[in-house]
Amino acid sequence: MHAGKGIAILERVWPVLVLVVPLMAVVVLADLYGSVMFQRTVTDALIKIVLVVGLYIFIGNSGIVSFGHIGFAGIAAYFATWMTCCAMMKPITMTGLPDFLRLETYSLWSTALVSVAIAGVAALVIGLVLMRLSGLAASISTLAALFIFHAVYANWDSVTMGRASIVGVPTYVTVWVALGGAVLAIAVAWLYQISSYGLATRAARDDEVAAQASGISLYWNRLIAFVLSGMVVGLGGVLMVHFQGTISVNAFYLNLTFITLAMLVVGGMRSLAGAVVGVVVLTSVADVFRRLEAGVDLGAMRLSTPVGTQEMFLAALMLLILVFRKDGLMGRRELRLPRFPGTGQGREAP
Amino acid sequence: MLKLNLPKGATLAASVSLTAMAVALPAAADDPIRIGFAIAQSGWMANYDAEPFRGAIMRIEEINEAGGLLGRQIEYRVSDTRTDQQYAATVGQQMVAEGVDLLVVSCDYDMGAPAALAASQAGIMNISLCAGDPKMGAQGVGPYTFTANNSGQTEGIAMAEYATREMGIETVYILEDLSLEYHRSAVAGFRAAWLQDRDEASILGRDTYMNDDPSIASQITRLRGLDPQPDSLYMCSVMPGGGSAIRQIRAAGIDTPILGCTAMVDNYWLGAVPGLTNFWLPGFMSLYGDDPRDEIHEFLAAYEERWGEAPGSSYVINGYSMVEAYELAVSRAESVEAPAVTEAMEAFTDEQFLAGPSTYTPEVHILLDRPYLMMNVEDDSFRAVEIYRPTLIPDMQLLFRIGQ
Repeated sequence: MHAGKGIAILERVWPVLVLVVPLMAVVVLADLYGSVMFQRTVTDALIKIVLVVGLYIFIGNSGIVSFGHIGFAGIAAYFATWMTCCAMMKPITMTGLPDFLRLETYSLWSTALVSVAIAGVAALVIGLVLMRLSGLAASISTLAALFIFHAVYANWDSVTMGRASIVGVPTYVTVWVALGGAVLAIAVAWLYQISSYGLATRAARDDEVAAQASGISLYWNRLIAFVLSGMVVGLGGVLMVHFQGTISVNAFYLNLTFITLAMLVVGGMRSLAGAVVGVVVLTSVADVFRRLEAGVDLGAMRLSTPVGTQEMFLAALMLLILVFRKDGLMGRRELRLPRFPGTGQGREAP
Repeated sequence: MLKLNLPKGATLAASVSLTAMAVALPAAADDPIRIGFAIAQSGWMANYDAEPFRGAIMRIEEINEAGGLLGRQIEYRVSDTRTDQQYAATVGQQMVAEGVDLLVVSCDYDMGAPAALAASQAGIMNISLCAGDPKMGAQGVGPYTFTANNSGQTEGIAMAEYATREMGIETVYILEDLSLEYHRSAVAGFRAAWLQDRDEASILGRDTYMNDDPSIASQITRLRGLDPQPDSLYMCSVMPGGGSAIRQIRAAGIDTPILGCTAMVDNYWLGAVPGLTNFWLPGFMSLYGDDPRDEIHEFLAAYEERWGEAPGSSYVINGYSMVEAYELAVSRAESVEAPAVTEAMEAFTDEQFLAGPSTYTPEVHILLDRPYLMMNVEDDSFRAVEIYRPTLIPDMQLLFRIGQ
């Protein structure tokens, strides 16, 4: 009886463990043996995991592709910048900030919490309007939200310095901090996924009419998913800005939107494992080709591929994956504990 | 891992000079001075980084041939930042971890600052090849950060002063490209200098566009509706939008002088506007055989000998003079430690480099009054007109565009 309960718990947390433990192993290796460049690549991948898992919480569960979430990362990142950045420059160059931001600098913990909350508020405000839509209309309107974010922040000179980079944000994000963020994001996503709200949202994804007939509110369930994913993506934005030390509005625009979406699609849009696998696969492939471009020494010979091959191979790989596995690498599956005899029926993948 | 990634000729030359050094110097000689270039070799920024990088290599090789700096040879290596801010930070940190005495970063604040920040935080000297944003300095990056170019504001100042004082232009219409901070800095400088000699009413209007706008027809319509028509048009832009805008302006029959900024120098884009004339801008040097300075002709000849082709961009001179500046500062400081070199550079007053006299101060780590070669387009080529040194020194308010 006792063992059965243990296995039941293990079965519940297994999909998280199986994602987190390998990530930890990579981080330990990077910390012990990796060069600066390798550590930074791993850190960057972990931050991308936070972003992509954040996207997954909404996209995977609701089935609505959102192009606007990177805007929430940008909103959180800018708020973190205002709270922590450059005490010398801020009063002079960001004159439009209220005094409590312009003249004060805050601790990193409170900054992260507040910034994530701000991203949540932004997601709530936008979600209140957009979640009334469904399907393609919702997707397109999220893209419009991203454009609005970009236009406002790129031209709000007195607080964002326009399109210029703000340099000098404290950089505390090491590979371990990024790992913490990724683990947190994965845990939140999993908890949401197995909660009743997650189940309701997925039910609405699979059959709107049937879900409504069962008394599920499309609007409120999607709104919860939207706000939660906005906050996780906001966390990704905060980590990103404290990793790079610089911020510019163009960093939170179409490029980041499409690379994170591509990672999610390649991994599998409807699986949490897919979100993580997509980031790992695309980052690894990009890194291998980057090294090839820089040149590899083979004895006396030096091989290097022409500049630009990385993008070409990445594009070809993504096409191949989408042609042959159109649900992404993981399809709709999670990585589940292998069935033990006597533990009853395995559940269907959520 | 970071790999030495040099052009073939440079690798050869470096290995030859290293061999020569090994023969000439005893093994116990001082370690070489190490310069790391964290610059773009791919992506759009590569167009602006590649030539200054070659210029810098030329000066480094000259120094090495002449016995080195403080008796030490200079070793350099380069790593591609791929025109990516985040990757630039990574490359910068990697180079810092491997140990460099000077980190040279991209020709732009947005692209260069992440790498410069890595060096600055590690207490290592860092210089941008040619960023024109004053934030590329003590205020925007760190105390050991410099840039080897005039500020964007200075470009606007030079053009405005030259237009009002030498060309006798009375009125102007400003067309501002909002896509880069650089353009806005130049326009701010232009306005400030223009208002020295003329009143606000002589600026007949101001309009904006974005570099990737396919058409500026509505801006042109507003411009044509003005009465009286302006004597001149000031526009600071970069390719491809700049060329496209000029073509549209000329096609609309507007033949007034167009005053531009340095990023539009050199002939590579003139094919887009056949028969363009009366287009003025402040440039660095003429690549077309008519530069008034003899030393420029010598430099161009040396460049062709070293690289087997003529330079594609006049930004090349900034890289050369960047190394000249570092060389002078190190030899005066008798050290490569960042605080000492910084102090020596901050004391620069009209030091004569190939690109012109250069001044830094403890507050301002960007050049403010290095003379320009004013140029005009005729017969489908830029032509040197004369050297002009701007007189208005922008203050901190103008440099950081406070309250504008």
